[in-house]
Amino acid sequence: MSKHDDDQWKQLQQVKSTSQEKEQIRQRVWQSMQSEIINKKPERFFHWQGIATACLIILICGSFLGFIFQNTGEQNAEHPTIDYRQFSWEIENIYTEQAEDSLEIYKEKQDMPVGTIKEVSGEEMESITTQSPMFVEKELENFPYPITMYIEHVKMMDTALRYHFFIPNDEKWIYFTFDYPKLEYAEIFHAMSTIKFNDKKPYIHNHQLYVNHGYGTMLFPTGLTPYSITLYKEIYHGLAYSNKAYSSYIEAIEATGLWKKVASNGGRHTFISLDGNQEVSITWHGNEIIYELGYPNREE
Amino acid sequence: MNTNGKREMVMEWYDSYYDDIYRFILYMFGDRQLCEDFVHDTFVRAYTAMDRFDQRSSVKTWLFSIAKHVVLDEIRKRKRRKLVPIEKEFLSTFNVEQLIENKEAIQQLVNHIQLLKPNYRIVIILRKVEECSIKEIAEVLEWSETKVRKTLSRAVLLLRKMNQVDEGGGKGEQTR
Repeated sequence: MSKHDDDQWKQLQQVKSTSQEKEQIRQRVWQSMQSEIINKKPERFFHWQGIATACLIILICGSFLGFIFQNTGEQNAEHPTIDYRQFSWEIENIYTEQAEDSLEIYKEKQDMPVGTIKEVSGEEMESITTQSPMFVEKELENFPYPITMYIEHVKMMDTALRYHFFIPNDEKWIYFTFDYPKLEYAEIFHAMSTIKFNDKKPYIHNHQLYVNHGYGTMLFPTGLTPYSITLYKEIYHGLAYSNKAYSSYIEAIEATGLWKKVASNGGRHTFISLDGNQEVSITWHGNEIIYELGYPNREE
Repeated sequence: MNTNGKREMVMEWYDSYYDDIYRFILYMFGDRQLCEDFVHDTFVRAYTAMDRFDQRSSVKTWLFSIAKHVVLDEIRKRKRRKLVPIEKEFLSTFNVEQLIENKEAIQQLVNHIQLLKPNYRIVIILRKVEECSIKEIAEVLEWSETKVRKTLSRAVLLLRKMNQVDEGGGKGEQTR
């Protein structure tokens, strides 16, 4: 190849992604490793030598099954199936409309649905979670009902991430989806952390719940109402913190081990991510909590 | 190694080899959006396969071989689904704005790379962009060094021919 050609290859060698892209992918990789849902292949559970043992166990346990089934009817009466259409949540400006075989979720002043609710079978759940590019799988602890959350990476004009939530309902699942950024992260979690079905009493956790927004590792309390969201500043309302609760929140962030507190000044605390690529200053004023975001290593 | 140790190790690899893997995938497809997904998939696969890494090759070579599987899987999937030929679809989305000099020629070179067979693309990108040795490319592709040399020489020849045809106003040779 000529010198001219060599120069062209040299130029291709210089192409790099932005540090912002690099950091975003980094966080996705980290999140995927944490959730460990990556291309899980079913392990070969039954080996030949195990089959005989399994048969023996089934035989021994068989005599007990009749006894268990005798009591099943009574237990079902105590745990009736939830009608997924009969529920409430504390988030304002979000409402549902009946569609053919589901409910569609709308946000006031938006024409397009921001999510859906319906009931799915175990097979349908399996199909949804294995055939979509899910990068996060997580059990949400201490929410009103047992919830399994998946985050799908979506490439659409108006949707970047799709949240999938599954709540067990007898042998089926109540299935919610929410599209980000049609709804902000805080709105999605506000909805799911306050959901209450008429047919089943929710679990009420006595402490503040915290979640991650998107692929990020910073903790955010649930119950926030977005007031102003920009690239470098996020302002939320709606959470009347006490000094003690705010201190607990700051401690919870430190306890993740993923953020290091580098400054504190009254109600303002500054954290830096372990890799040094992100800085977050959190300020709390009564009903308002402000996050100022900085990216020290980003090339502008 | 425990789970946390493995994760930290992958993040160290990420910091060291991200740019190499990013460029490799970028020139295989010519699309930044897809590139993000496949770079992610490469490092996540490295995490799940770490126990099988026997350290006979370097980490960089091993990561390239994982990236190779990721891109070849995608190419196969698209062929099976009879989607729009991958190269044509991606060409329009490749952005060479950051290449200051000789933009048209660079774009043409990237376009020509996309017209090569996937294995030709892998060889030429690893050799010319990533400056891997013939031995390293042989490890990535699990080929003999002779086969790598022959493929490289054919790929270079095809790129030259495409260039000549374009300069003469003709139509580029399809190699797929």
